[in-house]
Amino acid sequence: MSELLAEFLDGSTRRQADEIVGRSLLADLPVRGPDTGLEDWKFAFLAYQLDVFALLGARDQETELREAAELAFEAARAAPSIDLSLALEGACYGVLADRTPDVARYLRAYALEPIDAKAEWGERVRQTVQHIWFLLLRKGGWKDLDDVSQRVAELRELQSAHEREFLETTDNPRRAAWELVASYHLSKAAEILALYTGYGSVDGSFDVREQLEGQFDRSMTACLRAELIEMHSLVSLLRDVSERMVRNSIWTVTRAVNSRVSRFVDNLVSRAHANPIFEMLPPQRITLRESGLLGSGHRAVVVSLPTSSGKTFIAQFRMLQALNQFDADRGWVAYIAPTRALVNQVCAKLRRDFAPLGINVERLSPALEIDGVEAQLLSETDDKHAFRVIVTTPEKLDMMLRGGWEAKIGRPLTLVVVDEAHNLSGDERGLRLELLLATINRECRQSQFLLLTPFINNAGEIAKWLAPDSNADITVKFEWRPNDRAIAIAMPEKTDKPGDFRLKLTTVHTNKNTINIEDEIQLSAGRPLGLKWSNVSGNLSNVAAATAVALNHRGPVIIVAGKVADAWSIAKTLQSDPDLAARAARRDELLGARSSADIDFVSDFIRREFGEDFALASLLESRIGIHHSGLSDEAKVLMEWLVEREQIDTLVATTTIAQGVNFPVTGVVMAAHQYPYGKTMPPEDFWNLAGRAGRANQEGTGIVALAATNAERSAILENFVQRNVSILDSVLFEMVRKMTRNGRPIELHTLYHMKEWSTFLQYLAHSYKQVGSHSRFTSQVEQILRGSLGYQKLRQEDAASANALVEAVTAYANVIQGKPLSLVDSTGFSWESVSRALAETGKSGLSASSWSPDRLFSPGNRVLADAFGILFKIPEIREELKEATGGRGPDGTFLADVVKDWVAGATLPQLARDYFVSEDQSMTEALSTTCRAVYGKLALAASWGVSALQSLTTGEALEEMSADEQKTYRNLPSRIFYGVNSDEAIDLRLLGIPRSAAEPLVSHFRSQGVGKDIRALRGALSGMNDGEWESAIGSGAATYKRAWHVLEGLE
Amino acid sequence: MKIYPSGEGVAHWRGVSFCDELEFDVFIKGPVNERITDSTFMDGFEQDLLGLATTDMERETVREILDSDPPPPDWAVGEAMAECLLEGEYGASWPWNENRDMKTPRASLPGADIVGLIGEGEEIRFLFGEVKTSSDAKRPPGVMSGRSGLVHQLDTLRSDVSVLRKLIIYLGARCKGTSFEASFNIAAKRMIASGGKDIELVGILLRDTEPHEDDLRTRGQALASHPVPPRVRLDCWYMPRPISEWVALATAPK
Repeated sequence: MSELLAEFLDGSTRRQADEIVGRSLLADLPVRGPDTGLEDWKFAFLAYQLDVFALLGARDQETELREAAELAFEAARAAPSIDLSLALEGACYGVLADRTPDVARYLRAYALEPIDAKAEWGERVRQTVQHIWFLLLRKGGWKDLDDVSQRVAELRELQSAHEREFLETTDNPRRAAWELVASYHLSKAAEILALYTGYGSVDGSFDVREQLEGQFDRSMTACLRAELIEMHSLVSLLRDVSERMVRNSIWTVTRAVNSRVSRFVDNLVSRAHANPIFEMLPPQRITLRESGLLGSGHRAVVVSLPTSSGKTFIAQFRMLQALNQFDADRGWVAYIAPTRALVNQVCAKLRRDFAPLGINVERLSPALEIDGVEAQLLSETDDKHAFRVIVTTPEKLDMMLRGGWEAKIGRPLTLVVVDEAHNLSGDERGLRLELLLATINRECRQSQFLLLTPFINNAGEIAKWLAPDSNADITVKFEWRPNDRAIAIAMPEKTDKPGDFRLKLTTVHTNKNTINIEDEIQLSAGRPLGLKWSNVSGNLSNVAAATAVALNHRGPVIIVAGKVADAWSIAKTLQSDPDLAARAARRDELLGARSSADIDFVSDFIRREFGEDFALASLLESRIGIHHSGLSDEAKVLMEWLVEREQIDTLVATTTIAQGVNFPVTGVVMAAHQYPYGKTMPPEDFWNLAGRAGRANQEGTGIVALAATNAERSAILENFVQRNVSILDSVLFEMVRKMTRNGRPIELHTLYHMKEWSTFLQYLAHSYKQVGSHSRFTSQVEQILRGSLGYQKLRQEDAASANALVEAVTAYANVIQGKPLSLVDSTGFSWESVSRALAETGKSGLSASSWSPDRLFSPGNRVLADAFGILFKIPEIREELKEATGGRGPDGTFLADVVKDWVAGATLPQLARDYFVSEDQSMTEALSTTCRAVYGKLALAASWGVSALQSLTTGEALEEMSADEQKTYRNLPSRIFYGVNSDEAIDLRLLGIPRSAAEPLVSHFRSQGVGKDIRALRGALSGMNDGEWESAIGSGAATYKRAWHVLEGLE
Repeated sequence: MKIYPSGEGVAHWRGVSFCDELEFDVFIKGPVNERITDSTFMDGFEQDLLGLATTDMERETVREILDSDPPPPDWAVGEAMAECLLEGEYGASWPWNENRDMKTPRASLPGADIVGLIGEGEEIRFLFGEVKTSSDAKRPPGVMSGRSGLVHQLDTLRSDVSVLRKLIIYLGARCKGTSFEASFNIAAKRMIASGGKDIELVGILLRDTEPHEDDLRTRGQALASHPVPPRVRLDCWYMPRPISEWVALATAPK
């Protein structure tokens, strides 16, 4: 059939039917019931069903079948009443539509009745067949699969006792006999499929498709013999569905790749696993098998998939392949993720999954130097302990590789996985990532690339850039959705009663198949949260808060605020809700009551870290969380953990959460759609965030509500959600064009004060150093530039600018000729900044001996103050350092004092009181400012700056030190990064121990005579029982132990 | 020979008398016989039972049942007769089921006795029908009324989408990959585009009594009272031989 019958439906019938589908998906909101339009729905459903049946078995029309099945699945779910056969039929449509997570959700919501043991044999067989196929489609762990086999075995046992009597007494025995034949074949098919799903083979053979075909053919024939028309439909549907299920099976997707992949899959499916993975999500199947990522020999692959497609999982297979490929050389993989939170999350997942395979996964801190501990990790040569996978940020990997670490590791980098690779576009970080990939491509012989992005339009171009002869663009072309989602505008409206308002939600049409209904949904009326019309009429924060509480009963909601201060105020509004208790009771009634153990633990941790006056602890007790830069990293991870466990009802965050958030909620309410400094959130980020609305394992539609206070803003937001995803563009391209636009030649050495140009100059300096000769460099300028995506695009689109850049680079080669360019690599500064810093350190008399571990952080010592004084003049770092002062400006002495107290173990309240509190600030605000300054800026910038100055002043001194002294020397910046004051404490921090617990544990280990290296500490830590924790830390031991478990992803 | 053609609005009804016994015999022993044996499948269920062995279920009882040889019920002959008449009179067409076991009486289809296609070119429509046989002396006969009566069943076909769904899916499966597929697609589009109205319904009453207009009139008028399509046709055929003889005639060896 060339066109779908659905296209012939009358427009109003179709609209009415869609409306019913939409309203059924939003049924847990106050929408109108399906009172009108039911006849239209029924008729549209008929058209969709006919389309599906017409397309069954047509292998060349899978796209059409998927579309038709999607419509039928949606319509089936909107049925006003549902019985087992409709549930089964609907689930079949869902599988054919590649909506497997929704199918599982749909079936979980259906209360499956047990098989009627008293029914006559024909009915019993009929029920059993429906029952087992239902279980197979639901696949709720091993139990469902085991039940299938058990039910089939039961049929065999009972047959002799019941079949004859039934056939001899029934009205139409021949027909009944044929129906039994058809059913027996269907139940055998289910048994085969259950075995294959669990074990990857059936009685030792792998020809599951052929075995299933045989059963379905015979079942179908029996249906035809007796004209069993309803059964015939079911069999033809299940036949295609089974084929799809075999295709989705993790065994099929990963068959015959390599032994590592097989072992990995064995583990994923294992009965020991709490949530065994039997099947791949459709985008995973398409990427790994149909688009051929598994078994692909392509050097560069860009995988462009919708959010929540399980990209990390896809990457894991590619990683195993790369490790296998270079096993003889003990090759390693670098996984880079843009944020600390993601680095932690990915590392925890990879460790969990790869540990059983004996693959060591290590995480490097984002601090921009390789400290002694990390040097030890990287240099490990014992195969049992040597890392095979490194997880870190792009900036850290850049530092590491420019520092020659691939050679020092002595094993080849074989694969770079770039998570959220759409960050290539955008800003200085994007440029750095682009040039990092260019550098790796140029210098690491065995390197391969896997870039993971949400949907972009030019994945192929990116892949080709990295490997012109060996690349692949794997884009899942259809708009796959992990769950149902509605994007809506929430707006208050004045009512007749003074002060009251109603809050209405209006769905918005988007290009992503989100739910759109004509009806306005009235979320609340009166004065929710005790707010009056005057409180909401011009206040987005309050509109967002009122919206969130109207959605809370469905599950956790994130509110996205524009600023940290807004986040606090929204949280406070939520907490002072006069109906807080009633709402909590309603939520518990709908979703089940929760223990407060997790909340109590995190509140205790927050109190210990932030003191009694920090609002978060008491907010948590009302199940309100906070997530923004005004918290410590640890507190943020704990918030994420609580949301994931559904312990928090509302998480109030800032827009920055769109970058790298990775936990599901049922609703996202946006009070703002712009990043700080007014930059509108790009579509990729918005959809990334929207993609979190809807939980993989729970019922309910994901709601993304954007707060508006008037029609004008509502219109802006409607445009905002309808923007198309842009193409991934190089930052370099725009930078150069901006320079050439005014017609003057580009003078690179004058541009170093701009961060993005400094990044580019560093790339040039590094390449110059690697080429090793001035004349060779100048003759290879174009070749080197071609390594970047931006230059390639310039060449194609703006040859004049490309030529200008070549000229500028050639001229710049003269500037850096003969300079000690390794200092550029080791500092992360441009040559211009390096030379400035060198001059300044000379003036200040800083030398290797200045960096004494015993004196550097002592109260009277001036070295740090001088160092920060110098660093305030270095463009690459000065802005971050300024922000680290919490608004005081370039005050080196102030910064040195903060750093010294921080390293000495000052608590956050102490730092807040001594340095950051201003007169009109509450303690909560002051602590927030402190976290933003210390965790957000100081830890990273100050450690980087000190490390850079260290490398400028060390000279030959390092070589005269013992190994232990070298480690301590190298570790100094990390003391600042982690806020601790010993090498062992740094080890422990890298192992995930919270800051406050690190030093007490160090004393404990010292007293126990535990070795100083990280391996010994890791062993000692995992072997500690509660009593030992208690004696090491004293009060709060249980809290810190648990926090460590959570932070390390062990819980 | 038509004896009482009539019609109002969307409904048409008529009575036709099949006077000639010889002609009737040729008809029932020819096309009707072929129709009830419209199967290349003859007794070959051994192969099917061999397949059943792969399910690890016991086969003996099923084998015994399938080994028996019951005659077709008279209503099955009536349906075959109706299909042949509709084919001859109106050009209706019926996809064949070559796999059907002729010895297994068809259970009545859910909601309609006959399902096929009618018309030509772009004018092809689905045809759904109900068939009743009756020797009842009453006019109209009892089979015309009540919940299982002809008229009520036609009303159901007119209004119950879920009944249509099963029938059409079944018909679609029969047509798929055959010469009927294109016709099926045309009929399906017509039906969907018209909101389910552009189909044809037919009620066939087979009688062995004297022809009389009262057999159809009141029911025909009731159907005609519907303001909107689908079109409904009621035909009553008066056969020259008693219904009790039909099975024997239709199954007699040639």
